[in-house]
Amino acid sequence: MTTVQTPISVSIAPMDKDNLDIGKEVSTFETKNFNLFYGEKQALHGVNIKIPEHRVTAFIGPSGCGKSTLLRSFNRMNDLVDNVRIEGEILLGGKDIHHPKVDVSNLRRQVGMVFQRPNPFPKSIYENVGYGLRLQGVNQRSILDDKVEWALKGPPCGTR
Amino acid sequence: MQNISKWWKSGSPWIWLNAGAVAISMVTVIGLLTLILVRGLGHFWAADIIEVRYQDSNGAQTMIGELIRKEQVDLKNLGKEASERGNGERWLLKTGNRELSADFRWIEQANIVSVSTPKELVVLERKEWGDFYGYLISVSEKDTLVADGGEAWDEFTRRVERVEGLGKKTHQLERVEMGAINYQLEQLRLKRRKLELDGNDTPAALEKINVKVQKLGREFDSYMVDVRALNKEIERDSALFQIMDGQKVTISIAQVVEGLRPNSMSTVQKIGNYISTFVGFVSDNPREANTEGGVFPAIFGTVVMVLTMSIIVTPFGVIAAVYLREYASQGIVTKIVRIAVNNLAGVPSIVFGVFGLGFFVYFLGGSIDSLFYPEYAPAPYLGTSGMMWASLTLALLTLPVVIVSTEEGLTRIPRNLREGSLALGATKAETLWKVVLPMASPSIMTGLILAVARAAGEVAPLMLVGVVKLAPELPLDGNFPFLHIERKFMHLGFHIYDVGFQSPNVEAAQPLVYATAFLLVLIIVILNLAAILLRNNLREKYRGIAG
Amino acid sequence: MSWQDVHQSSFLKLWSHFQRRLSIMSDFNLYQTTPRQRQRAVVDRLARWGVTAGGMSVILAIVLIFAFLLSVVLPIFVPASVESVAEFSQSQLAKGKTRYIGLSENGEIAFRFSEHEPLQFFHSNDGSLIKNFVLPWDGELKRVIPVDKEGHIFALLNNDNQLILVEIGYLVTFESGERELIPRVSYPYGEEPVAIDSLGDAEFLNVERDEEGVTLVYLNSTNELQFAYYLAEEGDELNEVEFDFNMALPFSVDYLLVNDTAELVLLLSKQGELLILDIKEKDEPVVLAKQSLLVAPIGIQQAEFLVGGSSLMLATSDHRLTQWTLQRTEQGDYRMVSPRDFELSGDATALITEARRKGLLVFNAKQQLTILHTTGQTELITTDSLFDKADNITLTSRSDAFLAEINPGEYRFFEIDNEHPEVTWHALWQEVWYEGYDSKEYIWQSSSADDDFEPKFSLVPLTFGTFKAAFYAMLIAMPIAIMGAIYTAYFMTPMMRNWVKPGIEIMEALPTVILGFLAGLWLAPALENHLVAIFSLVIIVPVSFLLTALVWQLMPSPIRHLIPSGWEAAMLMPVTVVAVFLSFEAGPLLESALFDNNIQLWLQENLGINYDQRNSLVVGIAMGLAVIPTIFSITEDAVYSVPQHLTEGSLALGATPWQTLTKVVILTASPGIFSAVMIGLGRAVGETMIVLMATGNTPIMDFSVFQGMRTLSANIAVELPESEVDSSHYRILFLAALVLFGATFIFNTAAETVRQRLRARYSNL
Repeated sequence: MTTVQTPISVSIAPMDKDNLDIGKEVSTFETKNFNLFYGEKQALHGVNIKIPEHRVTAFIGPSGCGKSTLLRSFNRMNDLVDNVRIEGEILLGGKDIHHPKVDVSNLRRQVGMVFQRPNPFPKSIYENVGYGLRLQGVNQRSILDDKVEWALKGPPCGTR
Repeated sequence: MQNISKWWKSGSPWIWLNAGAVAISMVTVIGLLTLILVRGLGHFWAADIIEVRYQDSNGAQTMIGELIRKEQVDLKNLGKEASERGNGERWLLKTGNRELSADFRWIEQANIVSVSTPKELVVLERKEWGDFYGYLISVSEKDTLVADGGEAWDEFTRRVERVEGLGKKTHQLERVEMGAINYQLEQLRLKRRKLELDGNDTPAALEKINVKVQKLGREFDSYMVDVRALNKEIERDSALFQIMDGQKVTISIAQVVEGLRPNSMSTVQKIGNYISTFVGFVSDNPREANTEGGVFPAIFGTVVMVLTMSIIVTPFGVIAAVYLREYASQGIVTKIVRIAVNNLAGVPSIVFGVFGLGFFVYFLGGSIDSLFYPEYAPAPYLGTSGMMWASLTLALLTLPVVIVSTEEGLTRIPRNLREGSLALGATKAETLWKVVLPMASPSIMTGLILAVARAAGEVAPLMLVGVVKLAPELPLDGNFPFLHIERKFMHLGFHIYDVGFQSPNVEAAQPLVYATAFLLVLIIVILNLAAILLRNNLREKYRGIAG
Repeated sequence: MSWQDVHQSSFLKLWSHFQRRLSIMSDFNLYQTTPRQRQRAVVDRLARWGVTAGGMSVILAIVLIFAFLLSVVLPIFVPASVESVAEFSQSQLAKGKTRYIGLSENGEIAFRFSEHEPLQFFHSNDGSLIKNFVLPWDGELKRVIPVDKEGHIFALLNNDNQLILVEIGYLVTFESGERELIPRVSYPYGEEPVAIDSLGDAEFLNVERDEEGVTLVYLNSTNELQFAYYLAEEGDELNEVEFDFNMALPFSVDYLLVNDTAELVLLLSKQGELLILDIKEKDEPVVLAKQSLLVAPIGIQQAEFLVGGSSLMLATSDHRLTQWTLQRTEQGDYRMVSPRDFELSGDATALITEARRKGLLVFNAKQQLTILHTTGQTELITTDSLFDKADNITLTSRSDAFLAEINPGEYRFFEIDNEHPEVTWHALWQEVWYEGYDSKEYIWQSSSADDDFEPKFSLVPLTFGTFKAAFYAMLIAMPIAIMGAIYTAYFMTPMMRNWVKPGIEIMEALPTVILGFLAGLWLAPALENHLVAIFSLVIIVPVSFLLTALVWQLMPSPIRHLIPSGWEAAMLMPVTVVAVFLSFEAGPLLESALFDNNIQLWLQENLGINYDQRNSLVVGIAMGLAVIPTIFSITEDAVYSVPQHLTEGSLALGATPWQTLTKVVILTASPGIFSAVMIGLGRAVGETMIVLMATGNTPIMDFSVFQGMRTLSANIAVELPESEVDSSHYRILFLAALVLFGATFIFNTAAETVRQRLRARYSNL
């Protein structure tokens, strides 16, 4: 079976337009020869990429080329799919995220993700916004109130 | 004409025939429910009593009773000449007074001279021998006449009420106080036996038990004295009646549960009486081999058994469904398991009963008895059918219902909701507990309600693992440990089978069976409607989310 | 922006805020560090284990049901086995020839009557002596005749032809801390022997007793048949009743057999000549039959009554074992007939019948043991040669052990594992000729008053009843359910559908005990009174539907447009009620016009059909009602999910809706309908309460719609509570449950497989 490999182009929005030098940037994520298979089918072919810190990085490519798969690999969401097999490694801050000692929920806590479609939980908006905090054991009403209000009131993210 | 043949060819008549099949089904459902409703609720209505003047080959007679039904029959069956072919009408009359003569009789309409409904006719509901019909003549206290003529009736009702009050007191003493003492005595006996078996029967220990036994014995005796005094009070009064053949009969008021003069009651009074009879039906104990009185123990037994079953089946059913849907890797094994679960749903209920009897009662119960309760020997404690094993058997029986329903609910939850939670750093267990299960809870509820409805109506397996026609004690009472899992219990469904088919006087028991059937159907229809509504609601809700 | 988007972005904002605070250190911590993280991980892992364990236990429970049922059933198919457990010699042996050896019920203790010396009891495992008992006379013991089948009472005869009855019993004590049996000997009719003067060499003597007395049947010194009858209750002295009877015999007698109740005497010669006498009236015995059982040169080697005394077992020189039982001929006289025979592997040297079952042990010249059971009609085992020779062999009354005396004082003790000899494939599923019957039959009759009764464990009548009930139920349910479902799925307006479907679900939820109760107490009498009306329903109802359709078609179109199509079923509901009413009005008229005013009588007189009030028709209707919703729901589902583009294609080509339905929809949905029928059948087969209440529960094999039946499930419900745990009966009832389990399993799996294929096909269409 021949698989057509479609390249993903990576676009990085520089913090300082003039001084973009990928080599010098501190990278958050780094993948090394990363392959991913759904059963027999290979979805990612030898991905080597560095994602710099404090920048917005975008993956661009045709549909089905593996953008989401790569993204989902960063917080190991692909673990949830049956029959997934990976080769190579992904480093976060220099640490292998597939290391057996890694606590997946701790990883996911630190690697946030926004899905293509909004998927609110069937709870109140308050509970939806405060869900992550509650998971971390923040149950004090006053703190939750403040944070939720702050999150809902202020200007949407990205328009700062 | 051509039109018709074209119409015929278009197949439209067939559509109508198919529609007819639906019509038949619906008419049957409605008809069945109506039949049970009418017959079941009719039982509580104080019907008029008729007095029939009757003339047949045995001469003129008077009959007093309640008209049960009229029937068209072949005259030949009534012993008529062949020349008188055709149908005649006959009436089934409930003439009561079972201890004196036949309590049901067929009379031919052709031989009836006149029918009347005298206002003074009295019907008594009695503790023994079924209903009594007659005219009240007088009321006596001990052997002294206290009232007759017009005052007799008021005096009579007063004294019936008095006896009722005393009866409640004795019941409290006998069942509750003395029952508790009996229970404690039995516990002490078992304790002593256990000490003996373990070789711990030191004189000191035995003496301690003996002291307790003696104390309880004294208490018991003092209650006994009270009960005897009360019983004497209860038996004080009697009433004299005239029955249909002119004979005069003395009835002890202690025997009377309720006395009515239905012919002189207004509709409002009848409605009041109707309600109180119905309340009595659901809250009283059965009498006379279950053919009279109430069905309270059966309702109670059904409810306790179903609740115990729910407590067992819900966690297991939900966990199994969660395992199949959330944890097990979807492959050939889960496929087989699903087929097995579906199959289990189709296994006849009697097979579960057989399994329950063989495995739970004889094997598990027997082993537990010989290991932990040797003091009960030779009587079995858990090694006989009872509450616990019945609940477990029914839990097994209804397990597929809960599993299938929960799984369906889990399947409907969109995948991205789970991912959303996980991506926020929730563990799988947290996702399950905070997102998945709350969302699936209506499905779990639906499954549970369906399971409860099925368990409440299931009889065949229970006949093998714990239901009895008359349980002396309720499975839940005031004696420690309150829920007595080893006790046998009564059940509405079995009550119907038992009273309708095993009792000696089926005709007399029929109204009660219909009333019991009505109760059972009511419970099950309500449960099912609840499940249907819940499910429809749920589907509407998901239509929004899944889109 | 929807609220969802608002929330999404606010959420991201909150998250990135914290993210920034965390990443001040720019150090990602992937491992569990805080106690809370560790705790969460532990909870997660525990949940995983818990759920997996819970899920697995449920799956195990399903397997357990099957495995447990099987484990109860399997022992009935385990072949018999014989095991040598002890070999010993009795050192303190009483002198003289062995006259008789016997065993206690459980086989623990053996005893031996010897020619000269006392009765000795010893342990059957090592031969250690327990006790000696001296008999109350001095003479030599000539013969020991067992009187009861359990081996407790013996008639002893000494050389002076004096007879005494002795009873052997055992006392259970726990004195030494362990359970111990202590043998006891008593004399139920006193210690004074009675003399039987006319008894010659006493070769042919048989003693039986009942509550009233003791009967001796013997051949006297002049070779005539003679009786002695003693009137005595237990504890009394034997008191001879004189009566004058002796009978010369037409052949030389080799076997004299008397049955347990002392009512039948069999005289038999080696050549097979047989004379049977009825001695109920002791002074006037009647010759019941005189017959020759064998053809020369075949001769008899062993003869013995089977327990119950109604079958004679003959081992003959052609190596056959034949069962003979007395049968009344059409002329009213009696004759021995042979229901069955077995092949033996050699000359029979000993024939021992079991005390409580219709089984027997045959030893041949090579000292091989063959165990047989007549009802089971199967040879259960033939062992290898067990020993070189045996003078005496005795079997426990439980038939689970036997003791062989190789030489006087030298014994071998064997245990037999043969719990369920009467249950064989043949006895369960094939015709069996039972004792007292004229021919082979399928019969279920499990209740047994005593051990003499031959249990009849044929599952065929029950299986037949099960499928008969299911057949009539399906006959009624299938047309209504399938037609109704097709209409509901394909033609009905959604609004009405929203009402019909819950209605059907309510019908499904109705407890069967209620359907059964209505069937038994309301429908059965109603059917009996209105049989003609019910049958006329079959014609009147459909005709009235068609007439309604026709009238509706002929209505002017403004009226027709008042009710859109899809509401036909609602219109037909009042029609149904009217049609039923009409049928019940017409019923009596039809009955008097066609059936002489009493259809039951008419059926019996003209067609020879008996009418049973609780019959298959009642069951069919009641169980049909229980099955209709099952078939309805699944069929409706299958028809409803036929892809719309298929029907649209057909309609576009000009087909009418009905043509589209028959040509396209039903064809596509037929596997779904098939699986609906299978699941319905599964339900009908296993249903218990309806058949229990709506039939008479007689296990007969009659396909008549006016007769009842007994089904496997009802049989379990009736008999299992009374069945003794681990008895053959108990295990057979479990087998019945397993059969039900298996049958429904097959139906359901077939249905499930077909449905899954259908789903795959729909998704491809």
